[in-house]
Amino acid sequence: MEHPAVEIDMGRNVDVGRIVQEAQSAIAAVSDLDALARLRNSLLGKGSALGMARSSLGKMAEDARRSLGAAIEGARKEIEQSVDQQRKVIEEKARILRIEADRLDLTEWTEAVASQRGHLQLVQRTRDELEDVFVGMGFDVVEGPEVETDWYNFEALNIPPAHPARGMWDTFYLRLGDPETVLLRTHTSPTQIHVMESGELPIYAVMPGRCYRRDTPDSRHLPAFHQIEGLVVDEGISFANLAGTIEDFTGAYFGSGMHSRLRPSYFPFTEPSAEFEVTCAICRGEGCRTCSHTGWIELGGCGMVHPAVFEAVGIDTERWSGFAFGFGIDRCAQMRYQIPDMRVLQENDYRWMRQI
Amino acid sequence: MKAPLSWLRDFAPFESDVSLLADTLSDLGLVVEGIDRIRDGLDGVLVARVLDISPIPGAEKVRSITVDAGRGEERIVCGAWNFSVGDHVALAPVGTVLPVGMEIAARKIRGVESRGMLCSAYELGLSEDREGLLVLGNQDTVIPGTSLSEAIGIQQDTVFDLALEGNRPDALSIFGVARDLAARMGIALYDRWLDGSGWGGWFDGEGSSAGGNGSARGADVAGHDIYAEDILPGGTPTGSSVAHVVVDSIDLCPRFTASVFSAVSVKESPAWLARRLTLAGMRPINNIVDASNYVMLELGQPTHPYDLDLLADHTIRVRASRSGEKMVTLDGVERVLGARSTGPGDDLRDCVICDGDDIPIGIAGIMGGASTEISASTRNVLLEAAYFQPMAISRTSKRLALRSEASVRFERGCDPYAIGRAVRRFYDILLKTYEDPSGDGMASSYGKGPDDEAPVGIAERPVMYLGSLDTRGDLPRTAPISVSVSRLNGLLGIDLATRAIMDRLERIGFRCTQLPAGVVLDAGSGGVAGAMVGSGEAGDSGIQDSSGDIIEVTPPSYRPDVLREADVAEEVARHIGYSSIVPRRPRSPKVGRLTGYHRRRRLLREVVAGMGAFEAWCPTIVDPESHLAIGLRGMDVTVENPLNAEESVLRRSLLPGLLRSAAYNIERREDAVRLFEIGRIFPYPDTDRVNKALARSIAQVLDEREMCGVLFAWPEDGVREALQLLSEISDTFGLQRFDIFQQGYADGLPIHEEGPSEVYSLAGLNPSRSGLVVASSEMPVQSDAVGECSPTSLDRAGALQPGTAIGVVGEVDPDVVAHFHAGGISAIHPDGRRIGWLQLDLGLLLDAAPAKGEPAKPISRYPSTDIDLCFTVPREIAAAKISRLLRTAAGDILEYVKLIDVYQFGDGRDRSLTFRIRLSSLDHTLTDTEIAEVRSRCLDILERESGVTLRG
Repeated sequence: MEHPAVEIDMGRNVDVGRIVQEAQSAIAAVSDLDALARLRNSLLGKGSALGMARSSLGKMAEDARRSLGAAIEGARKEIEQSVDQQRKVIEEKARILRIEADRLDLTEWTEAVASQRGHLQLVQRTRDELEDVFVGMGFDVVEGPEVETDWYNFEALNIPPAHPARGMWDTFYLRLGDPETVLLRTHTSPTQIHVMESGELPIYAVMPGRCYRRDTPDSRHLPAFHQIEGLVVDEGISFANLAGTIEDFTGAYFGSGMHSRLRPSYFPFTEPSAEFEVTCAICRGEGCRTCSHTGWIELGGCGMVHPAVFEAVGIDTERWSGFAFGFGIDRCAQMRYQIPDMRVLQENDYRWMRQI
Repeated sequence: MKAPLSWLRDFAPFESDVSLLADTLSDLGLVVEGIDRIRDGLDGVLVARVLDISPIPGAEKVRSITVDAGRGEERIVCGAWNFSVGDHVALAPVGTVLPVGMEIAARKIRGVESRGMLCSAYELGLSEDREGLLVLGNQDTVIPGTSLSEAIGIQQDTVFDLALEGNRPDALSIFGVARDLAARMGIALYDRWLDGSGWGGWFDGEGSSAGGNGSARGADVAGHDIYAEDILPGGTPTGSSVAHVVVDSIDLCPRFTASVFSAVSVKESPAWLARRLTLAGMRPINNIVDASNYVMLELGQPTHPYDLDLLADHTIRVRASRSGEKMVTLDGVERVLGARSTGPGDDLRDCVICDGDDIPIGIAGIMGGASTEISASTRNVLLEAAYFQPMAISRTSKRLALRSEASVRFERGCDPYAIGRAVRRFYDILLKTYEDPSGDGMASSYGKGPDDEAPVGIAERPVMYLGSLDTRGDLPRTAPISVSVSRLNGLLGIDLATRAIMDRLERIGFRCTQLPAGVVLDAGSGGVAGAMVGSGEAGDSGIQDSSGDIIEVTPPSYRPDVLREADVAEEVARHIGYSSIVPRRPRSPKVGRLTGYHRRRRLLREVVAGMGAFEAWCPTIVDPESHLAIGLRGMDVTVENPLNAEESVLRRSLLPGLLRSAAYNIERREDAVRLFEIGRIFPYPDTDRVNKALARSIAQVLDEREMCGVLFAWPEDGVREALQLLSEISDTFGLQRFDIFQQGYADGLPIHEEGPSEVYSLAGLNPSRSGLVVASSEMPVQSDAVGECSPTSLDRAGALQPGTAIGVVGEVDPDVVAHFHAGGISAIHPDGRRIGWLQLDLGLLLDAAPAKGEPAKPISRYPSTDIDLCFTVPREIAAAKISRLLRTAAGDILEYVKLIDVYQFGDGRDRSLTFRIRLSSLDHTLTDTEIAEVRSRCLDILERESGVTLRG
């Protein structure tokens, strides 16, 4: 802004431009807020050059007064602005100093001894994920007892007493009732019977839970383990539907590019029966040591519900057909996290659980 | 089962594409678990003729042998003495690597250079015989210089290791595997193996099963002299009889045949036989036993040879065991028969084979005894070939915990009509063990039996077949099955023509007849052909084809597993290949969902984990001592057959398992441990309940309770942390606060004993710092929709009553902490740490939570006011009582009453409790008057009801 030199009375020139210039350099030199306040007063107060010029206005001619007045007002605003600016500069410097004084080395943080957030058990989490996949496919989730009678665990599943197929399950029997009548369930299949006995059809249900077999613990077996059972009973259900369900599940849980295949097998409670295998997660089907170079990993068993099972629970086989499948939850977790030894699952070791 | 490819090829011309064969086998359900490629291991080993044997001066144990192995004379130093000039022996030239891993190098022994080694059968991996060299038959037909493997008929081979399912007795044989495989691959079996053209019906008849005990017949075989008359069971031996058979328990043994062979000589089997047994996983023993085992492996029919002369009275008696009867089996173990029930329906009858003195000499179908074993001196053999009742064999095998190759086959069900074929095959193989190698490429016996008999030609009839007895009861027959083509297609989700279905089935020996149109099945059929009905009705059931929808399928006698339509469907599916069935997802008509219980349980786990607790999985089967250690009274449910005594009862509390896990971690220097588990406990049931469950009038044997146990073992933890979590949980589930019922405070609530005492047991807890969590009277009573309740309450219904104990909260008894070594490292915690504990019954807790949520309470727009009151309260009065009184006094402008400060006076009796009473109104700012009124009401009611006054 140009500041014209204004001639005022008393024969003295008031160089507004120079006043502003000097004021601004004085302001820029101030570094604390109190001094700035004092300087502002001395620049704009009565005794200041501008103040004196203002007080002389009354004696001036109209024209000169107007032009000088405007110049003075302009200069005042300019100085005020500079003061404000400088205040901000000073404040910013002070703020930076304050913050700097509060500096913390983020790597000198001392971690709390205790983990503030807990961790969910791997098998339980795997189970939740499996449940969610099946819920998405239109299945309900149902649970059943862990202690069962021979009827639920075997007979109703078309495994009569002394049937050689009982050798497929090493059973823990309980000292209740007559010998070998009450037991820890060896699979989740008895829950199928409970569900079918309840009488509501159609059935689309998965049944997760803990099972027991009299296996000496080793890297692949624990006497207690978890299975998830699936059961569909509806009109017109076929083996092709079973294959479709297994295939859809495989893609949804293990990821796209993962497939399933069925191989003939034997279970007393299904006919036809099959074993289902999924693409080996390690080599994605290329063949590796884990899958014995087949590209496939056996996951579980399945089949069409045996007519004898339907008869045991009073479901009309002329109208209804169905399929069932089951597989190990722990085994899914083992595959997914490549756990070499299952026993770690029951050790509850913090060092291990923390990773999961 | 191990199936050598060379053996399979005896039955059909299988190609050598091993991976194709393996894939096809697996796809048939004969799952290939391993493929062993067997080299003959005899690369470079040659037949050598001994030309000269001369001593080496100064050497007593070795001699210098000159041999001809087709490469001129070679000199070998050898320490064996069992051969002479002119013998044919095995030479491993320099550079050969023997199966035992030895590499042959040129050596100088006693100054004589030896270029190679003459080998024993053991060194060649052919048998266990280490005594002397393998000496081939002394025949000029063996040409020196030929490879040894060629000379003794051993080839490279591939062995499939098959995992066979329990429903496929037919596949427990090389023949059965070949039959299935050939059918699937469209390859015809060699004619001689087809039923009825050589191997069927020696004395099997036409599958008839007429007659019971006493209907035995002798049988003749053309070309063999029958020396003895056949003896009827139960009859008296005549002067000319050679053996006598009595079957007392024809129900356990519906068919028993005994065949007598005389003038046998017992010796080592020829190499080809020994090798096949070895490849199939059995140990060669002698030619008689090996021939029996060979037949079992090949045809699936176990047989048992007895030394006839060791049988008292030359008699075999088949009967049920007597209770407590004992016998020593071949493995040297004394077995007690009929001693222990294997389950319902077990009549404790083990089928035994006895001699004429009625002494058990074998456990039928499972294992023989040593007394009548074939030995070097055996001259006459009685061969047992029988069909035992599969269930009886299964029970006995289970009872004695004794399984054998034979029992596995019998319990699955052998072909009762293929016994004659097996006996004939046995004779055939037995004769072959005496054949000389010039015959058809078979090797001679290279063994040196105790008799050192020279091999004999077949013309000399080394064995005489004397005759057989055949006793039959009711033999199972495979019944015709009516199969609806449309239903079979529907079950599999395919569309296969009737002819194609029949074709698949016929290839594996099923007989199929297509019934005329108009035949439909009875409802629920699968076994029996239905009645004829009018064509209109047939049309209604969707059957239009004039040639009829129904085929009558009769399974062969070797497929006892095929009983109904679904079984036939599986056979069709197996033989078209499961992979040829196109997957189609069914459309669930339902919206899938978790029950409310499941959703709330997931939320609970998040809340507990949010407190820093790690989720654990502790064993359900525990040491009974662990219950004693926490002082839990009552009975344990005991496991009848635990893996070990330390894990023999079902847990009734989650506390011991979590304490043990905490100790495990603390020992490993994890100082701050909080663990939780959601799992079931198993209270001991009353007899009535068990009986009801067994009678199926209730669905569940035990009142299993799903519990959530949380263990607080950070260094400063205690009951307060447990209480804090309890408070978070009740907030999360929209429940009113629980009441705590604690010993020592007179104004406790009445407790309803809901469920088993385990739920409200303070066992293992410090009684002065623990209490029951009790549903307060303000608890909303839940009556939930079907399927929303806990899955563990199949037989339990009803809502949570006020005063019901739903769990416990407290601190673990210091002695218990010490017992489990969960007290931590002494340097940090010289007195051991406090451990907080919360255990809640999820069935009660989560079923009580409102499914749809309580209506949310509006919040006030006006400022709230606090009144803080500080009282001097004697020890006997629970703080809860004060806050309950304050709540009553405050009325409807109360937001909350909270205990905000506790100060214990030095005398240890009274303490000062400061309560904050926050007041607000939904429609106005509270006036000083209102506030003053509340304050004075509070003071009045406290003084009146509890004698407590403001702290002076």
